[in-house]
Amino acid sequence: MILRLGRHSYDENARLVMAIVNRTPDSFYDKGATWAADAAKDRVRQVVDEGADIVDIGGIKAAPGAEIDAAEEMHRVVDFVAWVRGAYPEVVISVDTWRAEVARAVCAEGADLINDAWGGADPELPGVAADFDVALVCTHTGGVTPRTRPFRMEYDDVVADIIESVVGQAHRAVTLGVDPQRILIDPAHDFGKNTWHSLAATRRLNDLVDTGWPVLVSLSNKDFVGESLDLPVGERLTGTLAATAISAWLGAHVYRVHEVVETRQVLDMVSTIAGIRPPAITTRGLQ
Amino acid sequence: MTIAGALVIPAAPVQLPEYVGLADPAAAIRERSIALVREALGHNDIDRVVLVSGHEREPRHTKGAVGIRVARLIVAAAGWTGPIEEIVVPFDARAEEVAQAGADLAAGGRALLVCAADLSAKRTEKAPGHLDERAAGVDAVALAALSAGDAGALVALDADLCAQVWLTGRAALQLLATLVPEPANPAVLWSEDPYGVLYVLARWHGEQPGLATLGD
Repeated sequence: MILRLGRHSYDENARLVMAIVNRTPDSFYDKGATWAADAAKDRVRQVVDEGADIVDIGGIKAAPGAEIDAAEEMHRVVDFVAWVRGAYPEVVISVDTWRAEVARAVCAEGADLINDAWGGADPELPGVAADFDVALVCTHTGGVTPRTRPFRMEYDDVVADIIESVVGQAHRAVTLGVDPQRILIDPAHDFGKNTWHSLAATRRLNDLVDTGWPVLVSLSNKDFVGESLDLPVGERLTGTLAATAISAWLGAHVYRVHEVVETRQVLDMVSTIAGIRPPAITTRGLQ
Repeated sequence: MTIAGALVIPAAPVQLPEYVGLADPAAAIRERSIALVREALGHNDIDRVVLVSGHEREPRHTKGAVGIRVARLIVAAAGWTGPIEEIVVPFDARAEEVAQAGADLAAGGRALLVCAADLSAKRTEKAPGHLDERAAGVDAVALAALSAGDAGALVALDADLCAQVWLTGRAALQLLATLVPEPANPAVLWSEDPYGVLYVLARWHGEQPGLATLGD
C-alpha cells in the first residue's frame, strides 16, 4: 500500500496524526476556541510543533445547527488554507467539507486532501480531487443527510455496510480520475451509527484495513467513547486513546484528533510494540 | 372482528435488550407499557393481540420494524401467550395505503391493538433531529387527538409536516384511528420527551360500549 498526501508518500506502516483545526464558533469539543483567525493560526503552529502530519480544517460543525451556506463556509476556510500553505509548505492540508465548490476553492489555495466527512453527499466532490490531483477521504454515514444525527439506524452487519459504501465510493473516485494512491477510507464513528455500531467498527477495523485502502479513523472525544465510559465531552481522552491504540494495532493509518501529543505517543508506542518502529533509545541492561 | 381496545406505547429501540448496556435507561418507560398492556389483557376477553407500527419503506436491514419488536417484547412481558397479528405500515404511507393496511386484518374475534408509535423527534436542540419550532405544535395536536379520541384529527395530521419533524408514529396512529374511528373513554396516561423525542402512553376503548370494558 502506498498513500500519497501532498508531496509526501507513506507505506502501510505509517501512523499519521491529523490535527483538527476548527474554523467554527460552535464545534462540540473546542466550542469556538479557534474561531478567531489568530487563535486558529496559533492552533496550527501548536499542532505542527507537536508533530502533526496533517491539519484538517473545517468550517462547519458536524452537529445540526444554523445553516452555513457555501459562501460563508468558503469565507471561513479558503484564506486560512492559503495562510497555512504559505506558512507551512511541508504540512499536509486537509479540508473537511462535503461541498465541491468549497473543495475547489481550497484546492486552488493549496489544500492536499478533501475530507468528505458526509460520505459522498455531493457527487461532484471526487471530480474536484481528480482535477487538482489531491487526496480524498471516502466515509460511511449510512446515507444520512449532512449535519443530521443518527436516529434509529440499524444494519444487519454494520461493518459490511461500511465496506460496501466506502469501497464503492473509492472505486467511483478512481473512475472519475482520482489517483488510487490518494484515496483513504473512513468508517466514520458516530456518523449514522449508534455506539454499538461504532464499537463494532472499531473491533473489526482490520476488515477495513484488509480492503487494501488506507484507513482513517476519527475517534477523538466522540459519543461512542462517552457512552462506553459514561463520561461527558472533556473527560474522554483516556477512552479515545484506548480506541486509538486498538485501531493502530489493527492497522489504521491516519488519526483525526484534538490531542496531538498524546495521540503521537500512543501511535509510536503501538508501532514499537508491533515491531515496525524501533524504540527511541535502548540502554537498559545493555550497558 | 371486535376491537376491544387500543393502546399506544413508545416504539424507541432504546427499550430493546440488544441495545441495553450496563445501565437500562428506558426501564421505566418499558415497565409503564408492560403494566398498561397487562391491565388491558386482564380486563377483557381478548383472544388476539394486533401489533401495529411504522417502518422504513425500504429498510436497509432485515431485523424488522423496531416498533413491532418493541411491542412483541412488551406484550410478552405482560404475559400474553396467545395469537399475535402484526401490521407494519411504511412511515411515509398516505391515507389510502394506511386504510389498506387495516383492511388486511383477519376477521373474527376480540382484538387488543397495541400501536408502537412516537411523536416528533425534534423537540430540543439535543433531540435526534435537532430543534424544530414546529414540532411542539404538531405534537400538541396529536396528543389532543389521542386524549379526546378524535380519530379524525389523527387522520388529518399532515404527512409532510410530520415527516419534517420526524414524527415517525404518524402512519401507525392513523391506522389506529382508521380501525377505531369512534373510541370510548380515550385517555393519554403519560407523555414525556427525555431525549427530545415525545413518547406517549394512550388508551382507547373499543367503540362498542357494551363490549369494551378495557381498563375500567
